[in-house]
Amino acid sequence: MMYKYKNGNCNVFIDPDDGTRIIHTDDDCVDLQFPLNVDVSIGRRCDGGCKFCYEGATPDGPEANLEDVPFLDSLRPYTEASINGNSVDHPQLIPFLEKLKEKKIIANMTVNQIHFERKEALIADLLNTGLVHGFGVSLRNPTPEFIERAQKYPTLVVHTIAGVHSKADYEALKDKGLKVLILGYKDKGRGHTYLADEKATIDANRDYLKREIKTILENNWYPVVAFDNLALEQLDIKHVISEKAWEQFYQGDEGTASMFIDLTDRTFGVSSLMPREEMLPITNSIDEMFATVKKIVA
Amino acid sequence: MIDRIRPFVFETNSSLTNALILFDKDTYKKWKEDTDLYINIWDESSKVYTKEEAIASIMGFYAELAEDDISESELKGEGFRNSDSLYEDYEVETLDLEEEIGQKYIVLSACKEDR
Repeated sequence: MMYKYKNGNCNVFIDPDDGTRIIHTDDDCVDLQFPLNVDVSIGRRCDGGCKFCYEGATPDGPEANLEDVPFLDSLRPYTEASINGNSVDHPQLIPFLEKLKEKKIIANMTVNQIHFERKEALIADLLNTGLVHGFGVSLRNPTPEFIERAQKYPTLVVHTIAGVHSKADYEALKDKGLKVLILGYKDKGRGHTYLADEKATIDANRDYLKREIKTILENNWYPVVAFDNLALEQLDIKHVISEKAWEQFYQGDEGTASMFIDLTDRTFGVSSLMPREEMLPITNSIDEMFATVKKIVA
Repeated sequence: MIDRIRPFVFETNSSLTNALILFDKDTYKKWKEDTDLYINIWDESSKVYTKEEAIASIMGFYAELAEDDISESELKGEGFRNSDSLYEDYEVETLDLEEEIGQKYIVLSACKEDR
């Protein structure tokens, strides 16, 4: 089954079971009226302690009030919402997800591996009840136990970071049937300090990926290999794949099909890479906020 | 005309997810050799087809409606006539395979070519 909807000059098809999305237009450019995906950060309270956390999350960090989300009613059915920010520990998470489901929003969520392992039963429930569709796990340590647990979930994607994860990490995930997303390294928050302290290691890990990515793709180590825009740039992926494939698989520049909303600070912007001081106050209209985002990146 | 495809993955990240591949090893080999593979946008399974498999699937669907086997020559040819359909209100006279494929399938171009 595929949902189909009109967005700007495009027809968008999305499969709610596996996430396959096709954007079609007869025009020469994609011009969307509202975002296909909204990245929603719901807090910076996290006990993960990742040294490179670009959000600078801490165990006593702030959390968003999910009972008051002014633009919620303006979200269109089948828009994807990627929920981030140690979401499984947020006390208002489930009512928030229920509201999204009621509005036919496709909610996806990412948590750290330690929270996945700690709260797997809750996560399995969220997936089984359709409150969450796609599920990302930020990798800490690809142990055999983690791999075995992750393999149970068909929509799970293992998040890795170019520069943070090593050759050994990528090799441990090889041929395990797990989807892998490679993210660019964010020189922001604690990521900035970590980069200064561990530059040699980060460079070596990134160089390894840059050198080996063609082999990884060609030898089909993982059933899905995905990249965020930052990783595409940092690893120079455009020069690894054919132009034809690039045209088909590249989902667009930042701010042309997605946007970022920080519900804790009640601000929005192009992406989570945007400096906090440049973010703008949220409004009650997603179309209005997206139009602003498009202007910023135009 | 633009078709952007994000195969078999949701957005779980703070930036757009650009998914490149999802195939088993055998399908991937075919993909590299044949250049193009097809996704049936109405198919509930995450399956990719070669063009021949896509054509066979379309022909199988119409053959079932017509309760007739479709010959190999018809399968590879311009189409077939369905004069004995059991479905009186289903008026399929001729079948344009390219048009059918265009309506039901999205072509996945091969990811890796020598540049």
